[in-house]
Amino acid sequence: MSSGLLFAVVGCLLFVMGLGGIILLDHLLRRILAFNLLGSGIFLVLVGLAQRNGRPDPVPQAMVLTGIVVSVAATALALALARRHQAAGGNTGQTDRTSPEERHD
Amino acid sequence: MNAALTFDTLLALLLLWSAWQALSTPKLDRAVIMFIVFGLLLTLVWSRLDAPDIALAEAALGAGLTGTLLLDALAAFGQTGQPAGNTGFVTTIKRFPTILVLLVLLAALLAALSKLPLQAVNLPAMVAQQMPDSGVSHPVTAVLLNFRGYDTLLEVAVLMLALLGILTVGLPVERPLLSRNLLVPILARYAVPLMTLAAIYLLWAGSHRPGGAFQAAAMLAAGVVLLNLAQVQPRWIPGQHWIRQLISAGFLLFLCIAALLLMLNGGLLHYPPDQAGLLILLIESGLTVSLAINLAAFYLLRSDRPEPLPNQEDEP
Repeated sequence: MSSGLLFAVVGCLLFVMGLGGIILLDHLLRRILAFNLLGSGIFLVLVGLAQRNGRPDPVPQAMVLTGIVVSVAATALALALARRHQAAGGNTGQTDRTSPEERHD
Repeated sequence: MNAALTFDTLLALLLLWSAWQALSTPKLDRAVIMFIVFGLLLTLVWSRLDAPDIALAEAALGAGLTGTLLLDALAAFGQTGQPAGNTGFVTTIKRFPTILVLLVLLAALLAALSKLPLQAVNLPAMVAQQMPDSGVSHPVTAVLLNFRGYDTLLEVAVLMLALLGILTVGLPVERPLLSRNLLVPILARYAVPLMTLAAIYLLWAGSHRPGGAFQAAAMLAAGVVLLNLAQVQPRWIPGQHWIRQLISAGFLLFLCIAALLLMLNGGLLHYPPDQAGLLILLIESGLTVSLAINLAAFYLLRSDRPEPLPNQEDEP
């Protein structure tokens, strides 16, 4: 097992972990964290898989470099939206996941 | 199992542990710190994967700038001590189907990973073949600015769009710092000149070794944010037009060169081989300034008006 393949597997795990976080967690900030973990997982799969044979591959590396910059921009926009949501009196999900249905009854 | 693979396995486990902590630790501030730790560990992973360019960007942007943005937002949310979610029995049962689907997805992904053919296209060989005509000698820079130049062009546009989105959504109001750390101004005084020097070096080095516009811009942006934390550089307000002008200048320069080449050579960003090096350096210089200000603006741009609370009830 090369380290490229190992980190591609780690990337898969991070992707699923991030996806689970986005679905299951309530607080908006934590969802943004989960979204970033998901993105990092995809980056690892891209580069790790291309470098299974141990040789560096500049094409996925350049794509991931672009991706990191875009994901920072996306995070900044997401945080601005979350802040606006909170300033407008919205719930950021600080309350626990004693989910709405449970609170109603 | 050799030593390198043992190290990689340990690193992988640490990475997964920090990611898990970022999602599951009860306190939100600790989650953000764990996310920054995750970013730093990921930097190590990139250097283990022979990707120093990504490692540089990850350290400055993924861990550094994103971490700063998250901590800043955390202060605004003002909720740090809330539990992440209860782990009661009923909740666990309710979440069970989702978790099952996620596990099936993971199994499918891993199965797909093991069945992939080793190499469909030999991209590194293709890049190596085209390198003499690219105008630079570092493959990643050649891919970014020459072979896949339009990706980079669109990326700069995406960054501008994100900033435009933030301006549209509404900027947060500047709030005074709660405490003043005396170490930060001293650190900034020594670090920022060195960071500026390192950024110029990275920009120049990009043509023949790891480095380039992105890393240089990330370094400069981090420097500006550090100056703000040291209370030397005040926050920016939307009324300062030079910010928008400089941010668009780099993109417009890139676009003009692309359009000019389209008219002269009939191909978007088809550089003539003998001028490619010069054109790439020109584009990269413009991008460094624009990207640095754009990235710093994500943190520094603040509203100069008090919060316009859209409370419909207050209005007659």
